[in-house]
Amino acid sequence: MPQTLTTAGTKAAASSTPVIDGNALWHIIVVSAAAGAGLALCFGLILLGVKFFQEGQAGQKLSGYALSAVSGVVAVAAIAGGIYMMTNPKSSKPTKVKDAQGKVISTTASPILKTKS
Amino acid sequence: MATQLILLILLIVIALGFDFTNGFHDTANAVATSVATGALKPRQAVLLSAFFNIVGAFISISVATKIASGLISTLKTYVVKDHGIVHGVSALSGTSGLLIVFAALCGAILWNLITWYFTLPSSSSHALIGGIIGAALVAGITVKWSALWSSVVIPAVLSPVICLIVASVSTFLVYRLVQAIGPDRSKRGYKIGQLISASLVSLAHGTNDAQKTMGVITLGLIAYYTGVAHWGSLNGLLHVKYQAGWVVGSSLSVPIWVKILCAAAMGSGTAIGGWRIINTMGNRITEVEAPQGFAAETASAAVILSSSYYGYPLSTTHVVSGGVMGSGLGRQAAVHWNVAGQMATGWIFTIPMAGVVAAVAWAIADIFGKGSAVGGIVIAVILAVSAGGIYYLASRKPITAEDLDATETAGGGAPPSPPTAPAATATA
Repeated sequence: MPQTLTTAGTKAAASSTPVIDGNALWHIIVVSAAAGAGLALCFGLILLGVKFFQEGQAGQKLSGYALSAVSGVVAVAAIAGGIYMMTNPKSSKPTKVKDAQGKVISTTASPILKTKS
Repeated sequence: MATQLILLILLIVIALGFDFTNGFHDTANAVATSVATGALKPRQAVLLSAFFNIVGAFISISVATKIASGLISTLKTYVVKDHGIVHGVSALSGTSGLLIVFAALCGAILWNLITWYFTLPSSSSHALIGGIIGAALVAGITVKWSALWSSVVIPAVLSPVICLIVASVSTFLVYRLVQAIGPDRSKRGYKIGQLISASLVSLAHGTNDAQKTMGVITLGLIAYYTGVAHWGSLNGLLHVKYQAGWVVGSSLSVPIWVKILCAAAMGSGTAIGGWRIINTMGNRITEVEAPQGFAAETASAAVILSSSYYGYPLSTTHVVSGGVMGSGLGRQAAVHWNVAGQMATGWIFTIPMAGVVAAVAWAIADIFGKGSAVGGIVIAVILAVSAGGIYYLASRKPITAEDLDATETAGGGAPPSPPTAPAATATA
C-alpha cells in the first residue's frame, strides 16, 4: 500500500531554495557567450578560409583550406552539442521532498500552483 | 461522463487552436531576420520553420511532462488509494479541472490574437502561464508566487538582456571579420549560414512550445480520467515511483496521438506565416544585414539551449527580440527603441491580461455550474466570435508575404506599417 508524503517537509525545503541559482545563471551566460559568439566567428573563419583558398597563392590556399576545415568541424561540433543539450536537458532546479523525520527522500521540480491549505 | 467527454473534446480542439496561434505568432522568432536579409523568401522561410518546428515537437517531451507535472504535482498530496496514484489529481479532476485548463487556453489564445493584431511579438508561453494563473485564482487554487517569480519573471527579465549582450558582442566581432572577408562574399556566405541558424531556432522553438500544448492536453486527459475513474487509463499516463514503500513521485508519458496532433497544429500555424510579427521583428526594430542576422540567431539559439539545459524555461520571443536589438547595437546601427518599448510593454501586460481573460472565461463558465458542459460551450463560442472579430480587423489592413518580399527587394526600405496605436511608426 503506498503512503503519502507530508507537505511540511516540502514547504520547509522550498522556503530555503534561492530565488535564482546564481551558479546556473553564470553558466548560462558563459555558455551562451561562448557558443553564440563562437559559432558566428567560426562561420566567419570558414568564409575567410574559402577566400584564401579561392584567391590566395599556393601557400595561402593550403592554409585557407585548413582554416575552413577546422572552423567547419568546430561549428558542426557546436551545433551537435546544442542539439544534444536540447534533447538531454539537465534536470530543473529541484525542491527537496522530505519525510516526516526530515530525511530527503525525493526531489521534484518547483511548481507554480499549490492547493489551499 | 458525457459532459466531461464533451469538455475534453472541446479542450483538445481549443488547445490545438492555441498551438496553431503559437505557430503563426512565434514563427517570427526563427525566420524574421532571414526574411529581412533576403536569405530566404518569406514562404520558404515559414515552410523551413514549420518543418523544424514539427521535428522539434517530436525529439523531446521533457517540456511537456514538466508543464503537466509542474501543475499537478502542486496539487498534492492526495493518494488515490489502491491505485498508487500520487500528486493530487483530485484537485484538477473532472469537469472543474477541465474548465480551469479550458479557461486558461481561452486567455492565452485571445492575448496571442490581440498582440498579433497590434503586430507585437509577445510570449505565447507567458500567455499560457498567465491564463493558468488567472483561471486557477478564481477557481480557488493558490498560486505559488515565489515559484512564478523565480521560474518565469526573473528569466523573462534576464534572458533578453543576456541575449542582447551576447548578440552585441558577437555582431561586433563578426563585423571585424567581415572587413577581411569582403562585404559581398560575407553577405552571400552569411545568408547561407542563416539557413542553419534559423533552422536551429525553429528546432528549439518546436522543442519548447509544441510541447507546452502536449502538456496541457495531457493535463486535460488526467483530469478526465480521474473524473470518470478510468484508473487504468490514468495509470497509462502516470508512472508512479516507489521507494521503500513510499510513493516518491511520478513521471508522465504523452500519448503519440497527442504528439502528432500538436506537431501538426503548430506546423500548420507556422506554415501560414505570421507576417505581421515577422515584419516587426525583422524590419521595425533595426535594419538587419546577413552577418548581423546570423549573429542574432546564433546568440538566440545559444541562450535558449543553454537555459533549457540548466532548467530555466524561457520565452523564445523575448530572447530573439533581445538578440535582434543586440545585433543592431553591435553593428552600431539605429535601434528603434520606441518599438522595443512597445514590445516590452506588451510583455509586461501578457501574464496579467491573459490571466484576466482566463478568469473572466472561468467565471462565465461557472455561471452554468461546474458540472455542466454548457459553460464550456458558451466560452468556446465567445472565443470563436472574438477571434473572428480580431481576424476581420486585421484583414482590413493586412501585412502579407508579398509586402515583406517587396521590403527586402527594396533593400530594407520602409516596412509595412502596423494598423493602429500602440504600434506606432518606428523612428530611429
